[in-house]
Amino acid sequence: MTSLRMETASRFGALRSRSGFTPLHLVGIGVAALVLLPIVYLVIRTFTADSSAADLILRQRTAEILLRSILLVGLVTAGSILIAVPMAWLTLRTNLPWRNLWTVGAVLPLVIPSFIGAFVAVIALSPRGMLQDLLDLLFGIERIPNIFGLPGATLVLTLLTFPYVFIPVRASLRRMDPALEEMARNLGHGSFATFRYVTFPLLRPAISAGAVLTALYTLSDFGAVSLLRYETFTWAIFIQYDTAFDRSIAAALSLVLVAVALGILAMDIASRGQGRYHRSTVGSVRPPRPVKLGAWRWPALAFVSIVTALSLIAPLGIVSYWAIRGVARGEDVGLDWTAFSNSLQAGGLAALFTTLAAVPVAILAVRHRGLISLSIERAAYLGFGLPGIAVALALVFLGINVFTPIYQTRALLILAYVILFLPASIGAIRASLMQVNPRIEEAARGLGRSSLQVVWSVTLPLVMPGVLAGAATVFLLTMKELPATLILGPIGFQTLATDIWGFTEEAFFAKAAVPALVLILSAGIPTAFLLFRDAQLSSSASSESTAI
Amino acid sequence: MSFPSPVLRRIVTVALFLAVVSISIACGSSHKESSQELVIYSGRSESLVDPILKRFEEVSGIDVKIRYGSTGALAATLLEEGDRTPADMFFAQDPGGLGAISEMLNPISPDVLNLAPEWARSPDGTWIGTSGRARVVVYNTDNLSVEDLPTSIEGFTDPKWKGRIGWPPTNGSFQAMVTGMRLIWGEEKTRNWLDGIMANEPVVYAKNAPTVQAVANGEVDVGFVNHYYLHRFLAEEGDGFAARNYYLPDGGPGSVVLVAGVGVIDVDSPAEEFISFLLSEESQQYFADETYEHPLIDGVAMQPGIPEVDSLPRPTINISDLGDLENTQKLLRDAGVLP
Amino acid sequence: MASANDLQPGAPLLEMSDVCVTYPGAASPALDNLSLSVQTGEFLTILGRSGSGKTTVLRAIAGLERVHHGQLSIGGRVVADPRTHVKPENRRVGMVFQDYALFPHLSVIDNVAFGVQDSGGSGRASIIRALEMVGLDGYEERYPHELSGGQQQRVALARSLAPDPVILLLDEPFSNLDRQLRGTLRRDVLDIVESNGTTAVLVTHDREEALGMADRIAIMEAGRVLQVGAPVDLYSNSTSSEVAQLIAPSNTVRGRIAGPYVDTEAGRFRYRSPQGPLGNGVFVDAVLRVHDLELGPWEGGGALRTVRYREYQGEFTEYGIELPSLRRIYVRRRSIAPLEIGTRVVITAPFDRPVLVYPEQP
Repeated sequence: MTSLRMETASRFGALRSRSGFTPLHLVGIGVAALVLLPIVYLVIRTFTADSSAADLILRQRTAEILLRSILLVGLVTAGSILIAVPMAWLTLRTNLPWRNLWTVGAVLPLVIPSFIGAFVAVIALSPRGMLQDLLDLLFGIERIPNIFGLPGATLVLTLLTFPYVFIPVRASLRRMDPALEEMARNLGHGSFATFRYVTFPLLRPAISAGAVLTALYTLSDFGAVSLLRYETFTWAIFIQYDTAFDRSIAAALSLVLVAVALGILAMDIASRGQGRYHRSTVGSVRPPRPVKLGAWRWPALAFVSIVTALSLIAPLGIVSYWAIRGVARGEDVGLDWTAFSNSLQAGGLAALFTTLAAVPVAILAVRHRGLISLSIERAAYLGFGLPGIAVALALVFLGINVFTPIYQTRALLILAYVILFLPASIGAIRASLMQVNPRIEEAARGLGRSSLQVVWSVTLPLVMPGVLAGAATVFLLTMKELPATLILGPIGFQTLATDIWGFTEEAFFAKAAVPALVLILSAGIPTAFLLFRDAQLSSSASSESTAI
Repeated sequence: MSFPSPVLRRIVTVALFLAVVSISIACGSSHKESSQELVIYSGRSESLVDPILKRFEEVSGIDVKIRYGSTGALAATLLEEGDRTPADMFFAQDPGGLGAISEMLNPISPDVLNLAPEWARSPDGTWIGTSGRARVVVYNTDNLSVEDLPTSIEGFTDPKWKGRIGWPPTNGSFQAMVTGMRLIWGEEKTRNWLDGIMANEPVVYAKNAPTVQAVANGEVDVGFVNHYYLHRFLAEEGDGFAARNYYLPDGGPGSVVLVAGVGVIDVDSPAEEFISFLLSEESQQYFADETYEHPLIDGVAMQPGIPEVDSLPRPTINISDLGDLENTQKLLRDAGVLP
Repeated sequence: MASANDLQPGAPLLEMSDVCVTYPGAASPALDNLSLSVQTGEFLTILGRSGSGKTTVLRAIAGLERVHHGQLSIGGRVVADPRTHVKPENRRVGMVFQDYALFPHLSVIDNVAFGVQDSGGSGRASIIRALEMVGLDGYEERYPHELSGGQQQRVALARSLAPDPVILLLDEPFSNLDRQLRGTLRRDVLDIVESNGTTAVLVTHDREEALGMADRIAIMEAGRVLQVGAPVDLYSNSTSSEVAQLIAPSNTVRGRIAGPYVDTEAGRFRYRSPQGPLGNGVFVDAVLRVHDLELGPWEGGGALRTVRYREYQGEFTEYGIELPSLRRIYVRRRSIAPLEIGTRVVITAPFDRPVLVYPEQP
């Protein structure tokens, strides 16, 4: 029987391996190569082009657009932190009423794709939008501030991405031993000083992790910025792809975008250091005594209500309203069952293959620490930084010129999803695996099982929660994905996302409402599963949720 | 060997089975099976083309596979795919897209080619127009009347239009109009016009339809678009829709009449059958009634309110000369219109 | 139960000779030319401080670490040397971990059945027998988290015994249990292992455990075995001051040989040297065992030795005595007639028992 050697040579779960190179490493290198492939191809493409890539990259216009992107990323990230940190604290450490409700409310905006958020903003807030009509009717106000451009893009993306900060911050706050804060109070610090010098520094890794996710999501967002007409780098690349015959321009711009994204990722890795591998304290810390809000209760309640209303209730409400109105009027509601089934199928296949690729990488990362496995893991993590549009472009080139047999098939699209969402799955599995005592696997070896059998009969069942959480996350992300689906979808392949996009782009908002509602609901199922799994967003699950 | 968790084993086995099955399905779907299948790359949007395709499948029994995208993206894809392309024909929104891939196109047989008038097809017979569309200026009727509008598209470089113009610069028809400008005005004058408009800070829209919608909403006062989008809005929202088309009377590049057209890539495919169908009375009537475009054959009634092509002041250029999209895009990039 | 039928009588079941194991990135080897043998049916304990390499010995035997130098054989077969590495699953070595390492997703019976071939048929009996042996019959369908720590360790023991291992390795198996439970389980394990005739190696840092359970003890320090022998031998004939200190709580003070005596700042004692008699004036390390000292009333003159610390432990009381150098040594005596802090005392060895001395290392 083939044997994947898995001696876990560790003394304190501190994971040292003597075994050097194993077949598992080979699989891992394959996965890493898959992720690196698009970048390599973009580089080749850019530097073998007829026109000078350097000219294009160094144009003043490129710099302008890049600055616009960075400005948006900065605003959205700052906004998300400003919303998420108080939300996390209020829902966990105070006597605010209905805390669980607000918690769920602060996670669910993840389910809403940015292009749906943007289209809701357009129909609600644009000149002659719903709000304008209402204000006109009530107060005779004829003009409201323009939603388009930077303000609209910032608003929509902040409201949809703050959960990326909320989830890890809340989990970290929950894990934090309140004794530390009590100690600070005991040493004579006021509550503000305590937050400033104890709580905040302890939360910083979580904030930083969430901020990076928000930043990367914003940087690679295509749907919202296009609909809200804020010209970012991703938009520029799509325009180049969509209109220009010389695609090396798009390739060159993609490389710049990848570089920026990797810069953000590198900042995160540098700031987190070993913290990435920490194992959360086992056992429950004593629940802290909730802070009594007193008179602050009302402003606090207003704050969480407004956030939830804007980020969740308004989008759901408006989409539902348009959907119901469309159905009631007997209009063609634009729900294509093939697109629906395509969405589900793509999500399912992406979840499956991403998981298959993630398991070996996660095992390598946790059980076979070493230079090779570290490189493999880092490479696999690049997917976080790779904008969907860059991966899609690279795969189009690769598909036409190298992978000809799978060009224009779902296989290539699934490959793109795997590359993009691999980190989410690895993160979830790795977090689960870190909770598994390596002695357990060693005990199984001692009882006569080969390493492969151990993976099958012991490791996999124990990390199954992480595997499933990762798969659910990938499913959700795939359902929401737009640019790669637009570019790589084979002939006649439509999903809910591409349908909605098509309708909104043509300004057929009424037609987009029903598919949008269906998409949100079906993407909500795996999210509900994740929420149910860690009913209170408990510490063990936090790392998975972080990976979304 | 005993597995401690038979349930788990079953889950994983089923998952692996599904994986294998789905790979084989995914890989199997790429082949061209028979000549009774037609693969079209369409730069025209699904909402306009789909009904006509359904009808064609019904009438001909041919199985049509279609890939939608922007004309530019599909032309670039075709160039990249070269011989390996699965496409049998290209349905482009404008002559620019067809011109860009002219080397991949095969001449259309004369009897099919002759279905369209001479002005609406390429002289070398590599592509043929299927419907006509006029470039217009759409304006907001609450804020403007016809008298306020200049006679030539040059007039919009006047600073008084600052912040009042909307345009979709990524749109193929728009770019074809700019190609027309280069042809009629020359590079320098075209560049000056673009700079003049850019100085007026035009609002950028992704497509024609949202541009028209924005004009009606009063976000901007005028927009440079194709004529038929307005009529779709009028049909849906009634005469209260606060926008109308303005046909520039000077007959310059701003009032060029364009065509959407098709070119044949694979001569062994039933592409010409489809072309004949597109130029049949039934299809042309569909274009006239449903998309408000100009029919290219005689005897098809236009929708009321749309002027006949022959009655329009328009420049005397050959449409097939509008194929040089590449240099137009370069000019647009240099002027900062495109990123 | 332990099958070593193919062995010549008298040959060791486990033989390690000059074994070296180094962890990647570590400055010094975890096992440094270590040699050790275990006879069939023997219960060997390995006593050492944390970091001495004692757990690595078990991991090397189990095949969880690779051997870089030397040779390791089980039942006469070489299972590890620099070229050979028999996989853990093919060594028939049972291992019990400090933290039990039970499979949390499996019930008690499935945990125990995990290593047994044909667990449904012929292996069934050995599973039942193993569970009965540890007194957990009736708990078959429970899950690990439903059991107490002691029960979990019993399951771990049953799980290791059920596949009938050639040798049983126990890595600090009782350290996670409370003191009382530790005593009970220790006796139970001894009974089970003895009645089974199983060969066992137990690693611990608890000297009581090491002394009480072992046929022989191996003392480890810095990746080497310092001394191996029967507990009584080691206790009374420690070959080095390190061994002497590890095997009993003691104070080491510098001394000088004077005839049959050794003079130290704690007092004058008769001495015994495992290296044989020593000449006058030789400087030595004298090992004064905490239990082997008595405190007597000061009768004037001599050095100043004062009670500075007292810890009442019930039957015994531990005293900290300050010596002239201000160093403290510790003495444990019965709690009758307690001494007050500040009392001047003399330190003696009861019955003039000799203390162990070791010539000072240069």
